[in-house]
Amino acid sequence: MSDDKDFNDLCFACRVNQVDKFDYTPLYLASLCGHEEIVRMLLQRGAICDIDKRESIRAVYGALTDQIRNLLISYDISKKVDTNLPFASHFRSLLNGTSLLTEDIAFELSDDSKLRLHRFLLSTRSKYFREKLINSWSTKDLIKLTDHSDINAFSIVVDYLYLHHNPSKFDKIDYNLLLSYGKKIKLNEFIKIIEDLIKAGDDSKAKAKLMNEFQIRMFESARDDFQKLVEDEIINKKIISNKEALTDDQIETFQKSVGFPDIILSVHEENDEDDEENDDKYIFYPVHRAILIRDDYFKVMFSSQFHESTIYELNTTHQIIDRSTTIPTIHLPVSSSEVAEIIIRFFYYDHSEIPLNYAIDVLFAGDLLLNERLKTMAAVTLTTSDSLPDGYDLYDILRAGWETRVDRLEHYVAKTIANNLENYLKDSEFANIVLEVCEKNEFVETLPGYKSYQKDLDEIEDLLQDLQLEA
Amino acid sequence: MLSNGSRKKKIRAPRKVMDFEKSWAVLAAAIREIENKNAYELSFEELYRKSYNLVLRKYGKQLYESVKLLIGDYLLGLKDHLNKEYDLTNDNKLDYLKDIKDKWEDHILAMRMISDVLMYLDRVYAKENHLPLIYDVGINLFRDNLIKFNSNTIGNQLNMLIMDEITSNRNGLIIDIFLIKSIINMFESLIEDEKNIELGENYYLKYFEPFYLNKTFEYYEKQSNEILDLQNGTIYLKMINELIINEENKSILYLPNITYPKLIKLIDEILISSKIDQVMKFNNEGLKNWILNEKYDDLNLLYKLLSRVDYFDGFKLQINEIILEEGSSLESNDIVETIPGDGNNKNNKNSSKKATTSQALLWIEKIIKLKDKYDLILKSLNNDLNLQKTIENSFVEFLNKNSKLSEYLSLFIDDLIKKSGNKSEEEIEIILNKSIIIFRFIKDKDLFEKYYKNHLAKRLLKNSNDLERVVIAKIKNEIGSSFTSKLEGMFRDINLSKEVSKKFNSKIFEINVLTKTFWPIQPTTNNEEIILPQQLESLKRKFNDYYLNLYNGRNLNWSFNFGSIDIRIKFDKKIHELNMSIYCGIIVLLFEENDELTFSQIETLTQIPKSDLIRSLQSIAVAPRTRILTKKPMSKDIKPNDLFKFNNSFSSPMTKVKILTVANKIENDSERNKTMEKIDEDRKFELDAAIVRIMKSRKTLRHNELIVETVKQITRFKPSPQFIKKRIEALLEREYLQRDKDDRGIYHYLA
Repeated sequence: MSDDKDFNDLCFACRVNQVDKFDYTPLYLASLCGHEEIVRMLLQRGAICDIDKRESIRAVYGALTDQIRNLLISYDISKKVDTNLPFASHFRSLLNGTSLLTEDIAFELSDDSKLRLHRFLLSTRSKYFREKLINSWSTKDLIKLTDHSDINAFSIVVDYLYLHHNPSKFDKIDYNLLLSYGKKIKLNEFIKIIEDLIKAGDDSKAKAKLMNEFQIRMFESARDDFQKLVEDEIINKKIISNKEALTDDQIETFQKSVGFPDIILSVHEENDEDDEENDDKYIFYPVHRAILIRDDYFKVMFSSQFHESTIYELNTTHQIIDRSTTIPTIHLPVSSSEVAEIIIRFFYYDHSEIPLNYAIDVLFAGDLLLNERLKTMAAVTLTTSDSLPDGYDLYDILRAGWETRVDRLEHYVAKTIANNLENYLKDSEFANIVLEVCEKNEFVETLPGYKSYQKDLDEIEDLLQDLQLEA
Repeated sequence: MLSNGSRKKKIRAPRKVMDFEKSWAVLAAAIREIENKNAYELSFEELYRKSYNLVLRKYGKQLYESVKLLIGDYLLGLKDHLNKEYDLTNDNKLDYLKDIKDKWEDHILAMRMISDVLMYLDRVYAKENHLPLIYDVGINLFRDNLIKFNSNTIGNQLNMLIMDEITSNRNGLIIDIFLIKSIINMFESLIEDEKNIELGENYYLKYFEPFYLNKTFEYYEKQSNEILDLQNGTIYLKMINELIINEENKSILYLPNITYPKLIKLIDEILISSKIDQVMKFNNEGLKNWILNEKYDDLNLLYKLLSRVDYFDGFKLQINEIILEEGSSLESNDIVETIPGDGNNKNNKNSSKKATTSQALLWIEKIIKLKDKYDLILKSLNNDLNLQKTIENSFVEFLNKNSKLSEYLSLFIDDLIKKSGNKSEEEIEIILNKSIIIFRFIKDKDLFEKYYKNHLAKRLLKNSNDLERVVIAKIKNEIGSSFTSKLEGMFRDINLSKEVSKKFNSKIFEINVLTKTFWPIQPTTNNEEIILPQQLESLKRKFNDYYLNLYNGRNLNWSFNFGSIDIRIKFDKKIHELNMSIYCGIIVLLFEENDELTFSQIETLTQIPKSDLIRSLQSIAVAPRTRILTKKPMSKDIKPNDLFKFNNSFSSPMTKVKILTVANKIENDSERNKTMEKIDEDRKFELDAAIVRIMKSRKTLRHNELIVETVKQITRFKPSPQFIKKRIEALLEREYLQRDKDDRGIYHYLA
């Protein structure tokens, strides 16, 4: 095995598990072309060969020689893991710095190298850092790393915390050093993996498997950490009030929280019109801009030059957010705390469970927030449930689908009606919806690409004819 | 929407009917605030939600149109303000530019924010209806309601003002480059053809660029004409070079990449292509001056400029003329030098001949010097291969105008080899290489071969020199072995002869046996009739027998006229060892038995051809230092009744005396004609051979094709089509070829 630095850089640059437009991985191409050394190198560098996956099994079948095939099979991990989880890639991007300034603490690695990080993330991912942040670092903006032997280890740990897996960095560091640093900062999962790596010794196959294992465990631990953050520090700490704004004292409790929030989301729950005893409710959640900007709506909100972008003080010396000022509040335009919490969970760790009764609200919230994934998830809930949400009928679902431009809902409704045509023909509401379809139909036909709708329209039009025949 | 439950659709429930006007009033106020840079108080969330709800309630179209109208009105107001504020007659032109730049920058910032707020309108309404996004609407309105309003009023003003600034900059004034660059960027952002955005047509390309190029043309046309009026090429080159560098450096700061190549092409055309031929022709510091005075810097700059436009036609034409002129001036110098030689009446003929030889050498030397100079010139032209060809072609042209070229060059090499003792090997190598380059320029190489063979033969028969082989190797390298095979044969003969002579005897008798076809010299027809003295006659017979015994079946012809003989004679004062030609020897030996002989008697007794006899007698009876015989009367000419007598009182400071035979060095005209005839004869054979070779392989060919093929095959000289045609006719006569029965332009090969 060569230590060719350029090749390492190359592997790093092309990210060993990335695919091109034909879904080819570097591993597949190397295997197909018979470059055994490169195949080995890629596997050792963390390329995943999972014969349950299409990209990988292709590499096995396409292998030019038996040696390469055996090599691939020997590295097979066959364990489902999606290294490109959206929340993971977002955290990675935070490490590289986004267009928006969200960092609130700086570390000085050497005289000319500074790393700017997020307090809430360090606190969430590491108990050690949390202690530090609450105590000795609480008022500091710049932390100087005094022990220089720790710098490389620190860099790998930061990668780990930000879900950035870079196997090439491991080549340049003594594992024992890494282990002792991991112990120092009490990173239990991390310690376990490093211990395994040390045990593996020079067995490169075992090492490569461990590297993949490393990634999987990293994601799992992160997911747990963020779930804990959301439940303990955000939802558990929410403040319910009948006033539109928080008092300074209330904000201060947020400021002191180990969740280190930098923004407060307020949700306005309007009282039902016929219930006059209760006032409107306001619910406040301490959250983080670094997470909210995963969503386009918030990203634009914080980058465009409106009021929302002007509420932060900057520490210009270190290019970080100055936390000593108050935490601003912004309004989250959703109708209930339940919907807000679904969205928060989704933002923090891709939590995708949406109770049926909130699916419609989440659908509209997703539309407003310009978040297609949220919309899709809501639509999936609606279309895979056996029943309808409370208080909604099938036509409501259809209209919601039209309004939010989610085709899946329209298809679903059309199919459901077609399967129960007899029942719906008796429904007076059905005639109205058919008329709406006719209007829409004309509109749709003026659009290019309307043909994709044609099948469903035909179905519905058949119904129409049936209806007229019946009438 | 129909409602049948209390806790559903909370997002949509609050207002059953949206009041468009109410929401729009808020949005419109916000947009005005944004335009006035007061946005930091506005809540993005509130504005976004208002526009979101309007679009969701199907007010998308109304909202879109209202926004368009509002922004349009705002920009019209801005335009009025600009027109009122600036009359452009005062010194506020820069303020005007700055103001527009600021207004534009504010506007795009505002549009960015407005489109952020109206993001949902963009993504849902504009996209579904294939309308421009709000941001683009704002940009287009800036174009229509401000820049291009009222047939491009403000736009034209801007174009003019920017051009003024650029012109000032060209004239050396410092300008606000960033301001210019900003306005140009603005022009580029204004899309012209909205339907075909891919075409990339924008305000800049449509209005400013043509205007700019046009003004630039006028500017540089004027500048270059002013410089041209100075009538000085060096100054012209330097000044336009400066203009070009200046323009390149400055324009790159504000000009878009797309225009830069157009600009460069334009100024190159104005400053270089269209004027350079004229500049090179200037008498005062023009191309001729640069070449004649070896101004390599100027030439190098000229080359750089010409390379920019890749236009060398004019240059090639002119340099060709200059070389031809220089070349022919070398020859006219010769004539001038010959005249005083003619005025010297003593030994008139002889000295003029010598003069001609030295002139030949001088001429070649001058050509070599000229070539050296052009090599340096070529170096300053970056050793451009194309130009090298041009220069060489010009050399070929003027050199071949001199019909004596081949002879002169051969003489030059002859001289070089003979006098090689005086020079170092390196020097000789250098001069030889240069001679070979001139050889390369010779069109009729067969003519050169002829002369070279003659000179070589004479040198070989005297004594061979290692240099000969070097020269032959160089020629071979240059043109191939077919050319040199006969020359090499000559070497073989000489070496073989040495061995034969050694085996045959005798230190006193050296003989060269030459293969007739290799050598240019032929035995004179009456050689067998020459009467030899007894001593020589027996030697001749002995060798004859020995050689024919050695090589059975060969035929030996004797050529006494090339040999020499050493005779030891006791004169009154001293014994001298005389080296002379065999003819002279034969004559001298006659006087062993005779006291006095007349010319006619000598002729009868020796049978030496008359012209040779005259020359021999001149060398031993007329030449002042080698008068072995006395002659009566004492005149230079030899007449039949002249009386010759052995001169016992001959004396010389040296014991060994070499008697030179009066020799022809340079050909006179009749000799040259003879040489040419001989050459012509050889060429006929060569052409015949080539034609037959071609026809043998092709069987049937058209006349023109045959001519082309033949010219291709002949490398030793350049046959004229007429000459080839004659040879074809000759071959037809001899029935090597046959004309086609139907088409007389086609030939067939007859086996």
